[in-house]
Formats: sequence, C-alpha cells, structure tokens
Amino acid sequence: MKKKWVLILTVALVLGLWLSGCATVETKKRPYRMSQQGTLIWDDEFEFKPPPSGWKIIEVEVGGEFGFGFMKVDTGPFPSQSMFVYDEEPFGCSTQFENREEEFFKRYLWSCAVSIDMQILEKQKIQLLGGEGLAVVAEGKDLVKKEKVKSKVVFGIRGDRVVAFYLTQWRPIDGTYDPSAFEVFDRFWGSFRYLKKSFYETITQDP
Amino acid sequence: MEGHQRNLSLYEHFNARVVGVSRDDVTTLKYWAKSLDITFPILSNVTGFMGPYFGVKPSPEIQGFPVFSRRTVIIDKRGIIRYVRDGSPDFKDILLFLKKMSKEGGKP
Amino acid sequence: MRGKTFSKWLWLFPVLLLLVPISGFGAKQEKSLVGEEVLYFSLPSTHDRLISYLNEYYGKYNLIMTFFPAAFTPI
Repeated sequence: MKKKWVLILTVALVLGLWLSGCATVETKKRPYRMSQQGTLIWDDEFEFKPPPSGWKIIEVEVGGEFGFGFMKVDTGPFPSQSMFVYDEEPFGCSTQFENREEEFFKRYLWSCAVSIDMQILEKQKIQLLGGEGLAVVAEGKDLVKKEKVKSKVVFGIRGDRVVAFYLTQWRPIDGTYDPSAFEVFDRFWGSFRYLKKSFYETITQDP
Repeated sequence: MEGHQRNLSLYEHFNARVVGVSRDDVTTLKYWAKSLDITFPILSNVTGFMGPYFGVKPSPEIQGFPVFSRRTVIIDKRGIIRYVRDGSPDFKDILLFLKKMSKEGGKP
Repeated sequence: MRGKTFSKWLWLFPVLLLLVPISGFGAKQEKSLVGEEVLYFSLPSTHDRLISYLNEYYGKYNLIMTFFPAAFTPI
C-alpha cells in the first residue's frame, strides 16, 4: 500500500516537472509609458502626444508592415474605422521624398490595390522631425465593394532613411469622412520626436 | 527585397553583397526588379537545383507549382555558410550578424 | 506474483515518459548547413550576365542570398 502511494507521488512529481516548462504564462511587458508631461514614451525611443480616449493601441511584431499605431472603430456601417501608424521602414527604397511617394503608393494597401484606384488629392512640403518632410493626401474608391478610403501620408527623415506616418480612414462609398481623426493624426506626427538614435544609425558604430 | 535595397550601403560597410534567387525566368525577374527599383542582382534558377543544396523546401503556399520557400543564407568570403534563416529576412538580424562576422575577421 | 513483478517495474514508466521529448523520437532531424562549404554556382541574372559565385564573390565579399517564391506576388 505504502509502495503504491510512493509510486503515485513519484509519477505525479515527474509529470509536474515535465509539464511545468510549458505550463507557465509569460507576462509581456508593455512597451510604452506615460511621461510626467503627459506624452507617451514608446520603447524609450519615441515620444509623442497620445490620441484621446477611444483610440486603441496596435502593436506589430518585428517584421510586420509597420511599427505601432492607433485604431478607432467609428460610428456608422461597415467599414467605418480610422487607423494611424508610425512606420520606420515604409514601402520603397528611395531617399528622395517624391520618388519614395511613388514607390510607396504602388504597394500601399496592396491587398486592395486591384480594386482601389488611389488618387493624390494634395501634396505639400512640411517641417517635421526637425527637418523637411512631405505630406500627401490621397483618396481611393472601391466601386465593387462600395467602399472608399482617405489617407494622409507624411514622410520624414531619420538619420539617412525615410520614415512615414500614415492615417487611413475607411467609409462606405456614400459615407462621410471624419476630419477630427486627421487632426489627431496631425498632432501625433507634429509632436513626434526621437529619444535616441535608430538601430541603423548605430549599427556601423563601434560600441 | 526592398529591405535589402534600403540596406545596400550598410552591407557595403560590412563588405557584403546581396542577391535574390527564385525559380522565375530572367525576363520576369527583370521586369519585377525594375518595378521595385532593385539594383542588386536577382538570380534565375528555373531548374531549382539550388533548392535542395541550400535546404530550401518547395513553398507550401503554391500547390503543384515549384517555387522556393523563403530562406536567407549568409556565406563568408571563404565560401562557408555562416547563417541560415527561414521566412522573410530579418534585416536587423542580418546586419548584426554581418557586424559580428566583421569583428571576427570572417573566421568560421 | 505477477502483480509484484508488474509493480516492481512500474517506476520505469515515468522515466521513459521523461526521455521521450528529449530523445527526438518522431522528430525529423534536419542537417544544419552552417559550417558547410557553399556550392559554387553560376546562374543567369537580371544584370544581363551569368553571375558566378567563384568569380564575383569568393575571396572578395560576404554574400547574402535570399530565396523567395515568386516575382509579382505577395507571398
């Protein structure tokens, strides 16, 4: 009887040890925090004015289409949503804004590109990130799905590479765009600043 | 491939060059490279003999049509394979590896 | 008698259970290419010439090779 209990306990202990390696839940540390000035600090690398409540954080794993951003589901029938992101490596390769803009729009919203015809509405040289930039507003309509999208893309320079901020706002084809999302987006990139050099700026330096 | 194109000057800093390889024919690859403004060479391996040698399995995404899966390999100056990674290239990982290799002086 | 023999060897069962995951039983062992000498290839390229590893890269540059499925596709 005693031996039987010893055996059962041994088996339970062994199984417990064996499974403990896969049974633990890894707690993920939040990559952002609020500063005393009310700005949001992301990964100790970026600082910006956060959007008002109602916007949810989107975070993409390494290798995704963009770094991080914010999304809001708007009132109205599907699709009614707004999303803006910071992209450290936007589509394209050129370091000239005009060429990069062309390259970018060839791939932007690729999955929809077959049925969406993006038209550039506005182009403007601006100042951001302590240097020159380019802001482009475009709109596209999908006559098959009866949807439309308005997008603002802002290109800037970090080191010797082009970075981008972009907002996309989807609506049904007869829907109305919400300009307040664009104002929130303008505050986002307008307040954006870097707290340290990028990976690409430091990779060639010796530690 | 655009990621490689953006990093060309950094690769040069670490004495590295880059090529893409697929089973497409040269004409298709030329048009594709031009559309993306890719300046580094893309190699055409229509017969696919490079696949088995470099451990590149047929892609599961296209059934019945032989294409490579994504894999990145780094070969040092002495012709020794030093790095293998499946999936889309992790450009930061590649650069960190090149930096490590350059510090080692290319010793395997 | 048989019961005593059975319980005598029952302790072996959890030990074998422990060994299964680390033994790699059922796992396909893939030979790592790292450390292997590269195949000296020559292939046609988008630069309108045959690119030979031996002539263009060996002894001169480290080479990054990215294999990809197909041009003009999102995969």
